[in-house]
Amino acid sequence: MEKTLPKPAADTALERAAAVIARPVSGFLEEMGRLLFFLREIALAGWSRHQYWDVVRYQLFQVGWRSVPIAVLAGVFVGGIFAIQIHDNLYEFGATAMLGGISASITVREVGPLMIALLLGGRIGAFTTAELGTMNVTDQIDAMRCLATDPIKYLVVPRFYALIIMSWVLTVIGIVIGVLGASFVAWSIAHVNFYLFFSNIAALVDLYSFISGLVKSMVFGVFISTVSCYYGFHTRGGAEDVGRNVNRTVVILGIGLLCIDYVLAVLNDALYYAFFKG
Amino acid sequence: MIVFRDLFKSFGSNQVLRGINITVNEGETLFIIGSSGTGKSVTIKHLVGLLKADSGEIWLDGEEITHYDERQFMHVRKKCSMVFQAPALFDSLSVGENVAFPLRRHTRLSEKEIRDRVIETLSLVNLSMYADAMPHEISGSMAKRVSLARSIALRPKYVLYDEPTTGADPITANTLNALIKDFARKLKVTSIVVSHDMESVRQVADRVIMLYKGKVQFDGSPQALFSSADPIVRQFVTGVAEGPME
Repeated sequence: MEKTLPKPAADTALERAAAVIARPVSGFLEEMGRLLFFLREIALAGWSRHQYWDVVRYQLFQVGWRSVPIAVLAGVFVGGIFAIQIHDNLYEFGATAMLGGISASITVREVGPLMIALLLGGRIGAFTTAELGTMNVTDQIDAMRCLATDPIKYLVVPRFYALIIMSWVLTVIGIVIGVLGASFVAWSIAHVNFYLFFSNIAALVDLYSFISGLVKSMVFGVFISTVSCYYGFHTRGGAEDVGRNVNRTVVILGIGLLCIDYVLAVLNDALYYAFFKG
Repeated sequence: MIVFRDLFKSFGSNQVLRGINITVNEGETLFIIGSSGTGKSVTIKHLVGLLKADSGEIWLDGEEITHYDERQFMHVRKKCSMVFQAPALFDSLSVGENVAFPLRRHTRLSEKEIRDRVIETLSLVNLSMYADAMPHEISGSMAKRVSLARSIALRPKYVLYDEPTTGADPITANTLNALIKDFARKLKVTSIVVSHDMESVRQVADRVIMLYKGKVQFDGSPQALFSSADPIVRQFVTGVAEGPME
């Protein structure tokens, strides 16, 4: 009788460990692939000449105008907090004159775009997934298809445009209000006058910083709209699945925005030194 | 004319359609009946491109549409609309806007013409006074009627009804049956109705097809259905638990 050799224990353990690591990694890569395919679908639908501009206008209002109060409030407080925190450090070195430049530089390049993106992700991203998910589980998306209307073009592309445009606009608003908030706090608490505060901004914030901040905000807009529409559009089942996908959207947006911000910061730095300071 | 020829469809290991052959003649109201899971809804979803066949052919007015892509199906959907089991009204739009939705997207009608068409269409389902109401402000029965009105707003040649009377009370079911009959008579639409409501078959059908295990078990008039000697057909029509049906 032929004898079969037992499998070495170490091999089995290694295989098991590899499987434990491989499963989530392959799941993550598959999900990324699906997201990229969805983005491609949006881009193809959004590229055509015929668009539902009435829906785009409506979404601009929903996404943008209704988010202005939140952007203003967040801008004021984040600017103020920065001014207080940075002032304490600068005071020790007798460099409070730099307060305007440093707080504006951070707000324009990093905090402004990221803060607005996180707010939009929480407010609009979750709402979009819940809305599209509910439409999907109640057959509204199939009904739209049967009325000869492409749901990607009607439901997703307008939100995509609106989120890109409004994340840009809201970032500008957030940055301006943030800097104004910082200047007010610097004047009222740290006694740095407005002239000194603003004249120092021009020395530290150049056009490149401003443009890179705005490019970043547009990339965030693409990411928020793609993720939130994808999870809404691919919700199956019932109310529980809608809730699960909303949750997934919020988590992925939160972590994803931070990861993208890091990658863009590195790229931005490399480009800056290659073309402007090199 | 609609033709399904040797249509096969499976979902994973579950073979739902096993060679369906159906011809739908112009102007007729065809009922597709059968117990749950026999592929009634699956069959009609192929016609509007919500599902893709594994093999077989689907012909619509002499055109083979089996392998159409999403863009090509948009053209098919303008002449072939579908009413879902759930009303599936767009809840962010009013009743009138729901009916106006396909008109705004696919016609060049003026605002006044759209408004007139919406009122005219809602009148067919006796809901013209609810044009400004939101879907959550009307009853389930009304929502179903609005869904019917929306499906005929573009005056399609074919209307597919997916279990229109399921879950409806007897009065609502009768109203919906009368509307399906009315649409066929007044608007000259060809209707395919997926149902297991025998009373609807009796009231509305011109012809009945019964599916069993993914194949056509019966094809004939309602009278022939109710007097059929086929034990499977008999069991389904009479609704008795004991019999050859699994």
